Amino acid sequence: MTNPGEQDGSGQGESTEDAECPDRPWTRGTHWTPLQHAPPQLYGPALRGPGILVESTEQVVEWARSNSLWQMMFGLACCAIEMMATNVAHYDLDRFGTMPRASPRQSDLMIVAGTVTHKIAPVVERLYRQMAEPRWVIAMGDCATSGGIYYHGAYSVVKGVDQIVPVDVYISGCPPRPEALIDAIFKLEEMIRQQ
Amino acid sequence: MNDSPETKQARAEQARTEQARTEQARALLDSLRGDLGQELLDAAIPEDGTVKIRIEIQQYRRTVEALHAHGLDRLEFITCVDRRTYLELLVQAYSMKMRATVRLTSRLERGAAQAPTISDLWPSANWEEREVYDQFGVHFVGHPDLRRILNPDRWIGHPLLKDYTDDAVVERPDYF
Amino acid sequence: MTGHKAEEVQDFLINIGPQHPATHGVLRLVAKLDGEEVVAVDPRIGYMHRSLEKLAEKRTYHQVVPFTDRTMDYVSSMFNNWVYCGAAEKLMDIEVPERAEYLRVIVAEINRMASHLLSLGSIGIDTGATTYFVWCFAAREKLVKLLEDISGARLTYCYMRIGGVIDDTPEGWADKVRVTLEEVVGEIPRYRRLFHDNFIWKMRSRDIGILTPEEAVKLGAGGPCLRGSGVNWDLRRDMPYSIYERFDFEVPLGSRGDVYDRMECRLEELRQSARIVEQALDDLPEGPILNSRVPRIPAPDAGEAYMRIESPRGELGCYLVSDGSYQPLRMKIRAPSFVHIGMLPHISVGYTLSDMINILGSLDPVLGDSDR
Repeated sequence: MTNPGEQDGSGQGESTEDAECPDRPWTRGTHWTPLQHAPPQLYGPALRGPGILVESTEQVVEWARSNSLWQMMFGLACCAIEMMATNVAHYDLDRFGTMPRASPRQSDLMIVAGTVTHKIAPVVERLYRQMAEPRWVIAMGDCATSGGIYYHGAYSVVKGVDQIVPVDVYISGCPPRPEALIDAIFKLEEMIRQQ
Repeated sequence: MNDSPETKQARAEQARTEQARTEQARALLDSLRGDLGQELLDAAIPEDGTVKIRIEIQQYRRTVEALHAHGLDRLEFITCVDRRTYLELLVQAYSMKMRATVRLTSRLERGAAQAPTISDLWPSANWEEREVYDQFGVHFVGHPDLRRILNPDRWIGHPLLKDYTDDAVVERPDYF
Repeated sequence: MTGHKAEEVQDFLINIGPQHPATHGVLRLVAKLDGEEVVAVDPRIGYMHRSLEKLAEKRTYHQVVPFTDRTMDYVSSMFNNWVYCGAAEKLMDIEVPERAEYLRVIVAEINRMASHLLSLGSIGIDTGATTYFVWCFAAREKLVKLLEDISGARLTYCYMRIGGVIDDTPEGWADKVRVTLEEVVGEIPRYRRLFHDNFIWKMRSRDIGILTPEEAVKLGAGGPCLRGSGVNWDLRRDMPYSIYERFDFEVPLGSRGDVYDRMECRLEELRQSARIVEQALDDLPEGPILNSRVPRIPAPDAGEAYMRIESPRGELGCYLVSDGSYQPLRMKIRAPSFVHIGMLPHISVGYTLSDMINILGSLDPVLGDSDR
């Protein structure tokens, strides 16, 4: 992120081969370029310089909770592929503190990604009950939000996962882009911090 | 659309392979006719080279055994079509060596749809027949494990029938 | 020790429930174990059954196309589109323009590469090689971006229509494709070094889940599951459809029918798919991309048609029946994953529980495909 009025990173001027990070000498000879430091975004309790931070315990706890949401891998259908793609490589979700956990007992967040059918509905409910509080649910995709394209005429599809578990954030899209999932997690984090 | 010479040649090749396939299909049909004789109610080879046979349901098992004996080693699917007045049971199988496909149809009554199982000839028929039972209510006599496969176990009704309604579907638990 | 009853040894019934990190979707396996060894397994599917075949009976022929790419095998949606559009074209006797055929082959083979990368990555994460999962998905992102450029969507493309394809290539797409394919194919030696030549992977996959060629043919296996056992059968070459006869490609074969060979087939097919795409890009003709004479609400004469294609999972088929009205009478999908999951009890008996998860990964089922 560059400050307004600065050139973007394309015109560096000098060759990048000589640049080396001062505290990581092995970056010599690679394409390491010094980052322009942006002013830190206030994203919770933060300091702009040396000082003392005074917050209430609750706010600190909510800030910590929101920044380490452990998600339960509950991918059902196509949205699961997009959820997996958001978790790795290009759109890395791990940098926001979320970690995919297999067991509901170790997770705070259940991302229901995909169509909920009548056969899997009791399983969804049981998994939700197995999660320890505080727990949140994101309904990812059109099918989890409202039944999606299966709303009319599909006898086996539950019209939205909110008929089974309480949902905090709905994401629309079929499947939603990874950026939409990241945005939903941000919104959820905001909701948690404002609690 | 003007066809370039390469496209013309490619289409000619395609036509030649299709002709070869149709000839193979015809040969298969002739040998089947020799085996089954009178029981073949209807036999045709449409354009795409599939041998279509229609038989009575009483001859179903015997015909399928004959197909298996003639080298049709791969079962593609077993399904049912609801033709509003009757149900039509369909089996499609093909042979890798002969590159020929056979589609076998027979009619079933709507109320009491029963057919013998063929899961001992082709192991994949086991699940296919379970699906036909689940969706259409066709009972396969002799099937080792006939239960619902796609719908929940306590579902009421057979969904792919044309007169299926969602009224009495399943005992839904109280979610909350 | 008189007076004590002899100990009873019971087999242990374990439920590998629908929610499990390694079941490739919502598959439930009820396994009977003798200690760690699998004695019997009963796969229970249907948790993703979205009543596609019933929905198709209530929609027009064009309205079924978006259902095919989501409800069936959503990882390789181009193939689902193709099988349905191909069956509908046979039913209505519609000719597809040359350029559309070439574009179909190009996007389908790129999708095959993306699907195989997902399958390779998934078996990596099932066996614990999380880095391989991330690498495969990184390569998959590049391919998915190409498909996004041409169709607008990342996963469920809905790019093919009855009579052709819907959008033409954007400017510079062909060059981007060539560059990306070179990059992806160039990664294959790295994948070998990390995963496929790794002795841990070999220990976990060699001689596991052996499927003999006779069994594979009898059980109805297709695709890499069949070719991993050494059966030289590929629908693109042996029962050609569309314009596959014009391309020159090899069909990788395994020899032993174990997990290792099946994954090797998938890895090699990446290279062969890239070859097909390059040949198709070289020969791509100009012309229309959609047959303009397809009616908006087609009502074909009574009849039936069947189209089978080689999807990354196996042999995918669509059987369409029409009775003269504007809605299909019956659409039956012959799904490869349905047959492959049905094969699991036959090939995983006698191996340990963790091997069974590996075998399931090597069969590469997608539950959308098996449950439809």
